[in-house]
Amino acid sequence: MLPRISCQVERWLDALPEMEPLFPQHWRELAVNQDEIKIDLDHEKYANLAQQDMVHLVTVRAGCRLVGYAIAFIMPHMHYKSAGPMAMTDMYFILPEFRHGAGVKLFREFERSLRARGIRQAITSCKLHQDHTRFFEKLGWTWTDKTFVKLLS
Amino acid sequence: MSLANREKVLQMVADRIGTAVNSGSEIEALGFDSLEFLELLQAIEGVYGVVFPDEAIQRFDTLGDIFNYAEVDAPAN
Repeated sequence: MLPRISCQVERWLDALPEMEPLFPQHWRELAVNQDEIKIDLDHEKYANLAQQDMVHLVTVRAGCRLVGYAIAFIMPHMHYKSAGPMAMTDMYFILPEFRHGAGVKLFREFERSLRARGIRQAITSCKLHQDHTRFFEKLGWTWTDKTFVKLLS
Repeated sequence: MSLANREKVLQMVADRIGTAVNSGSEIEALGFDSLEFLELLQAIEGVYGVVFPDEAIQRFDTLGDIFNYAEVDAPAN
C-alpha cells in the first residue's frame, strides 16, 4: 500500500528543515539562467515574513515524509489596497515520484486554506517548460499574464 | 444506479490506463498526472451529478473513496 498523500497548512519555520532538501531539485528542474543565478534562499527574509504571518505554506506529505509544498506571500496588492490581502504564489513543487494526482490535492487545499483566511484573490504562474496552463484552467484559474525574463548583466 | 455509475467510472479509468481497476485501486497507482486526475474527478462529478468539495478530495486515496463520497456523503447537485 502506498503512503497516504495529505496536504495541510504548516508553519514555515516548522517545515523548513524538511523542505530544504527539496529546494535544489526544485531549482534544477525549474529555474532559468541557472549558470548565472544560483539558488540562495534569503532565510532571514522568509523568517521575517513568516513572523508577520505573510507566508502561507501548504505541504504535501506522503505518510510523514514531506514531498512537496506550495508557498504564497500574503500581502495587500499595491494597486488594490482596499481589496484586502492577496496571495502571490512564491513557488510550488512536488517530488516527481509523488506527482500522480497530488497536485490536485495540493492546489485544492491551497485554495481552501487561502479562502479560509479571507484571501479574495490569488496569483500564480508556471514555467513554459513545465506548462500547467490546462491544469490551472481546469481548476478555475484564469490565464491573464505572460512573464518575460532577461539577464541584464 | 450506484453500481451502474461505478461500472461506468471503472470502465472509464480502465480505458484510459489500459488495465482493469476496481474500487480498491489506489489513485496514486493509476499513474495519472494531476491534470488527468482532475479530469477524472470532473468526469466522475458528471456521472454522479455531484461536486467534490476541497475537503473531500483530501480524503480520496482509492477509487472506492470517491465512490463512497459520491454515493453517500455528497449532497445532490
